[in-house]
Amino acid sequence: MVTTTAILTLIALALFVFNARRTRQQVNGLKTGLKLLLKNLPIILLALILAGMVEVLIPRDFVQNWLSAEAGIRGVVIGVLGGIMLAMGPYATLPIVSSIYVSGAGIGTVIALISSWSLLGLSKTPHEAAHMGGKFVAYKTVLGLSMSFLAGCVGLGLEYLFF
Amino acid sequence: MKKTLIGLSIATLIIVLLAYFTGGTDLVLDGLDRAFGNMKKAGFMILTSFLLIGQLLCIVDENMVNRILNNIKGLKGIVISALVGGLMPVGPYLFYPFVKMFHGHDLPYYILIAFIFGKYTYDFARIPMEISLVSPKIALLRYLSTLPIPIIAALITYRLFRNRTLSQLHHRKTD
Repeated sequence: MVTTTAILTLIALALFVFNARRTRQQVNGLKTGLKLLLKNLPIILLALILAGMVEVLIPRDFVQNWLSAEAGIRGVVIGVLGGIMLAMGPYATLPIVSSIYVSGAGIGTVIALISSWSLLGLSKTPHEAAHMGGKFVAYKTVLGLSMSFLAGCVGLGLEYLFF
Repeated sequence: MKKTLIGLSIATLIIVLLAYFTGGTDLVLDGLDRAFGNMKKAGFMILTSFLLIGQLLCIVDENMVNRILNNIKGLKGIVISALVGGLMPVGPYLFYPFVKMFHGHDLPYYILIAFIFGKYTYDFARIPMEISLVSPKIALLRYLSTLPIPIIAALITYRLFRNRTLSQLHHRKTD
C-alpha cells in the first residue's frame, strides 16, 4: 500500500512538472483534482460503508461455491452479469468489487465483473441509446458480453497458472 | 450525481438494516469497523489519485483527440484509437456527445469501436482508483487480461463491416 501510494505520488508529481512546463495548467490541475475529490467524497464514503457491510454479510459458502476460483466458468458468468447490474460510477463500484474480492471471489470473477461493469454497466445505456441509437447499443452489448467473458476466462487462466 | 448519491444512500441503509436483522448491532459494528479500516488504509492514496487525475485532465483535451482520430486507419489506427480512447477522462454524459461528433466524418466504424472499447477498458484516469480502492494486484491483472479487448473488438467489427462509417450503418448503406 505504501509503495503504491509512493508510485502514484511520483506520477502525480511528474504530471505536475510536465503541466508546469508545457501547459502552465498545474495549479488548475490541483484545483480540478481537489474539486473532483470533494464532489465524489460522499459517494466514496457511502460506498466504503456499503462495501464493509457486504464484506461481513456475504455468506462464505456462496462465495466459495459461486464466485471463487473453484467456481470456474460459473464464477466468470456471474461476474459478467453482476457487472452489468452495477449501474454506478467507479467511486461507488470499486469499493464494492473490492469487498467481493476480499470475501474470497476468484480473480477471473473479479476481472469479469470489472470488465462488464466498465463496458456494459447499465448507467451508460441511456447515454448510448440517446446519442448512438438502438442498433449501436445492441451491437456493443453483444460484443461487450463476449469480450467481458473472454477477459474473465483469461483472468481465470492466470489465476490457475500463477496463484 | 444526485441520483447516484440517493441510490447509494438507500442501498447502504437497506444493507445496514439487513446486517442488523442478521447479526444484530455486533455485525453492523463489524461492518463499520471494516469500512473505516479501509478508509484509513486508502485515504491518502485516494487523495493522491485525485490529484493525479486533475493533472491528467489538463493534458488531454477534446481537440487533441479529434485531431488524432481523423488521421488514422488500419491496425495501427486501431491501436492508436484504443489508446486515445483510454486517455479520454470524461464520463458517459460527455463522452457520447463527443463521439456523436464523428457522425458526419468518414471515420470507419471499427476505429470508433476501438476508441469506445479503449475508453471503457483502458480508462487510464481510473487506474489510480482501481489501485487504491481494489488492489494493485487486481488492477495489474485486470489490465493484462483486458489489454487486447479493444483490438479484438475492432478487428471483429472490421471483419463484419469493413470500412463502413457509423453514418453509413445507421442509414443501411453499403460500400
